[in-house]
Amino acid sequence: MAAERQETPTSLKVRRPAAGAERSTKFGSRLARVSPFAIWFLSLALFVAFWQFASGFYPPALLPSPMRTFHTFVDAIASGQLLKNARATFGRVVIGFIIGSAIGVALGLLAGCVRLARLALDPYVNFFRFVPAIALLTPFVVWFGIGETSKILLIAFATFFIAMLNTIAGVDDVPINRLRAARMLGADPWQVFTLIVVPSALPYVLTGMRIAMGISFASIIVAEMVSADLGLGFLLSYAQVISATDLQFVAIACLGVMGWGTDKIFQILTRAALGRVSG
Amino acid sequence: MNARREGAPQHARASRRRRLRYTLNVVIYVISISIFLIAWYLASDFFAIPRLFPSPQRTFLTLLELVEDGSLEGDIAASLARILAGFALGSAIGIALGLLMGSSRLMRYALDPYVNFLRFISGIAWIPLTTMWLGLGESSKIAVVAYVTVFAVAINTLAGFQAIPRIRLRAARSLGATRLQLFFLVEFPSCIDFALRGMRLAMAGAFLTVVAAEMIAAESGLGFLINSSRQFMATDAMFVGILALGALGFLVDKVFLVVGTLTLGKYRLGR
Amino acid sequence: MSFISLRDIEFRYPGNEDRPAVLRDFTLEIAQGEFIVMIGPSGCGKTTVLNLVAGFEHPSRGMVIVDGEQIRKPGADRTVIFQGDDSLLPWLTALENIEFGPRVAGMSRRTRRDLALRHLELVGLGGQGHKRPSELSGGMKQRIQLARAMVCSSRILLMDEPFGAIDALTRASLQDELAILWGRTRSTVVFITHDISEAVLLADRICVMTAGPDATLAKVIPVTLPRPRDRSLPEFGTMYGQVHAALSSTRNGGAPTTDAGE
Repeated sequence: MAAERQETPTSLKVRRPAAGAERSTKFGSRLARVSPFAIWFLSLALFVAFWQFASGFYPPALLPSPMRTFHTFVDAIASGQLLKNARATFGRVVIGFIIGSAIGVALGLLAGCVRLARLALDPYVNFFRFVPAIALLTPFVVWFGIGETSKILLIAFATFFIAMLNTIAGVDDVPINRLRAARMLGADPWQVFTLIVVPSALPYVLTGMRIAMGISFASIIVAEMVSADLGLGFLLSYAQVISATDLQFVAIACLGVMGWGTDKIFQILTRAALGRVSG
Repeated sequence: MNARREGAPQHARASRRRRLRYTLNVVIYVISISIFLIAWYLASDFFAIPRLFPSPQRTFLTLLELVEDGSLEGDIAASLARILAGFALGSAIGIALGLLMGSSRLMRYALDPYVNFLRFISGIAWIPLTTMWLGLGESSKIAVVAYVTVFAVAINTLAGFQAIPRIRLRAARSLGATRLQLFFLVEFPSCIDFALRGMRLAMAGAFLTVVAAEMIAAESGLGFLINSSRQFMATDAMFVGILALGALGFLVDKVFLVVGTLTLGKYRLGR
Repeated sequence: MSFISLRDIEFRYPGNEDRPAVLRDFTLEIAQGEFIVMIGPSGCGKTTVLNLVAGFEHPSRGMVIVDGEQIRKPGADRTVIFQGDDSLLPWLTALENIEFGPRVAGMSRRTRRDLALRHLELVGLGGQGHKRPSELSGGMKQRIQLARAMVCSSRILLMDEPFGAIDALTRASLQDELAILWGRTRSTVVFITHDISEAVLLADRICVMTAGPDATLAKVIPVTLPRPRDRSLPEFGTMYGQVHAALSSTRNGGAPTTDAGE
C-alpha cells in the first residue's frame, strides 16, 4: 500500500509552499536600503493624513475621519461589543475549521495513497471544487436552521475541500526516491506511511489549511450577514443599517487582524515543518 | 529482423495493458458517479419531503424549466459578466502592482502594510460599503471582485519576480541590456507564469465573492437564484443553481488553462 | 600596460565590515588575448574575482581596470558564461537566445538573425535553433551560452565553471571546441574551474588561489605546452602534478608566493 507515483491530474494540482525568495533587482532609492520600517511608517502616516484630509469633504456616514473611527473603536472595545462579536465569529471558524481539516486531511491521505479511493473521489473533487462553499449556505440554512450548526458545517465543508486537495498534492509530491529508500531499508507499508509520507506531506497540508482559513473567514462573514444576530458579519450589516460607517471600518479592521493573525500562525508552523522536512 | 519480431508482441502487450488500465479508470469513474446519483436518489427518498431535499429527477426537471424560461441563462450570464469584468480589472491592477513591487524595493516596503493586511479582509466584508459608495448596480460588485483578484495576482507576480534566478539578470546585463530592456525582456516575461498561476487562484476567490455579493445585494445572478429560492423553500432550484455554479467554474477554469497555454504557453517555467 | 588589471583588491560584502574579507591584497594583471584559468579550493572567491571584472560587484578597496578605464557596471564588452541552465531565457528559442545581445544593441532583425544562425553553426548546433532550452541537453545549453557570448564579439569572455554540470564525455569535446574557437577569436578569457586537467588543457597561465577568507593569489603557473594541447603527452601529466601540488599546499594553508606578476 505504498504511495504510488501517479500523474497528478491537472485539476488536482494546487499551489505549493513558497520557496525562498531571490534577491530582486534594486530600482528604488537608497532610502529603501536605509530602513524598511521608516518606509512603512511614512507610508502609513501619509495614508492616514490623506484619509483625514479626504474625510473633511464628506459626511461621516459616507466617509468618517480616522479620529472618529478610532473613537468608535475604543467605544466598541469598552462596551464589549467588538469582542463579543469577534469571539462568536472566531469560535465558529475554529470549530468548523478543525472538523473540516480533520476529515479533509484524513481523506486526502487516503486518496493520496490508495489509487482506488483517489479514482473514486476524483469526479466529485474535480467538479465540486468549483462550487464556492458559500453557495451551500442557503441549503444548509434550509436543512439545519439559522443557528450555529449551519454555519459551522459551512466552514467545515469549505475547509474540508481545500485541506483534502492540498493533502493529496502533498502526498503526490513525496520524492519517490525517499519512498524507495524506505522500502529498501525494510519498512512495511504502514511505516512508510507514517514515517515518510506524512512528514513529507506536512508542509502542503499546512499550506492548505492556511488557504482554507482565508476562505473560512470569507464564508463566515456572508453567513453572518445573511442569518445571524451575533458575529462580525452581523455587526457589519447592523452598522450598515444604522449608517455607522465608522463601525463598519472597525469591524473590517478586526476581521483583518484575525485573518492576519491566524495566517501568521500557519506561516510559522509551515516554516517549521518545511525546515524539518527540508522540502 | 528476428529481434524486431520478438519485440513486437511485447510492445503490443504493453499497450494492451495501458488500454486496460485506461478502461478501468473510466469504469471506476462511471461507477463512482452512478453511486453518487443512486445515493442522491435514495437520500431524497429517505427524507421524503421533496421541498427539503429534491430527488435527481426533480432537480433535472427544474433545470429544464429554468432553461426554458430563460432565467437560468440570464443568471449565468449576469454572474459571468461580473466575474470576468472584475477579474480582468483586478488582474491588470494586480500584475502592475506585482511588477512595481518587484522592481522597486521602495514601493515594496511602502505598499507592504496594505497588501499584507488587506488581503486578509475578504471582499465580502466590503460589500455594504461599496454598495453605499458605488450604488446597487454592477460597479459595486465588479469592484469587489477586482479587489479580491488584485491580491492573489499581485502576490504571485511578486513571487515570480523574486524567483528570477540572479544569473539570468546578470547574463542579460553582461550582454548589454539597459535597465528598461532588462525589465521588458527579462523580468516581465519571467513573471508571466506566476501571474497566470495567481490569476487561476484568484478565479476561485472571484467566484466566491460574486456569489456572496449576489446573495446579499443583487437581483440577478446565480447567487441570487440560490438565495431567493430560500423564500419558497425551492431546494430544487437551489440545487440547479449550485450545479450550474460548479459547471460554470469548471468550464471557466478549463478555458482559462487552454487559452493560457495556447497564447502564453512558452512563458511557462519548468517546475 | 596590461589589458585587465586588478590592483590590491579587497572585497567584502556590504554590511560585513566586521568580518574577514572575501578577497584581500589580490592583484592580477592580464594581457590581451590571454587565456587565464583560476583554480582554487571551494569558497575561495574565484567567482568574486569574475564578478569584479564583469562589473557585478565593486571592490571595497582597489581598482579594476579594463583597457585603461575603471569598471563601473556590466557591459557587452565583458560577456559572462555561467554554470547551469538558469541564465538562458526559457521562453525564447535557442536562436532567439543567441540573438539577445545584438537585439538589445538595436541591430535589425535580418542582420541579427543571420549573425545568430552563423554562430549556431559555429558551435555545432545548426538546425536546432528553433528548440527551447528545456528541449536541449546540458552540453547544448552551454554551447548556446557560448554562441550567445561570441555573437557580441566581446573582447573579454568570463566563464564561471561553465562545464561543471556536464558529463565527462561532453565536457571533453566542449573543452576542445572552446580551445579551437578561442584560437580563432583570440579574446581575453578568464575561466574558473575545479578541474585541473581542464585548466592545463586550456590555460596560458593558471592562477591558483588560497583558501578563503582573505583569499589571494597563491601562485601563478604559466603553461607553455604547445597548442593544440594533447592530454596524453607526459608533459601534460607533469604540468598536472605541478598544479596539483600548488593546490594541495593552499588547501593546507600554504603562504602565497610573490609570483603574481605579469
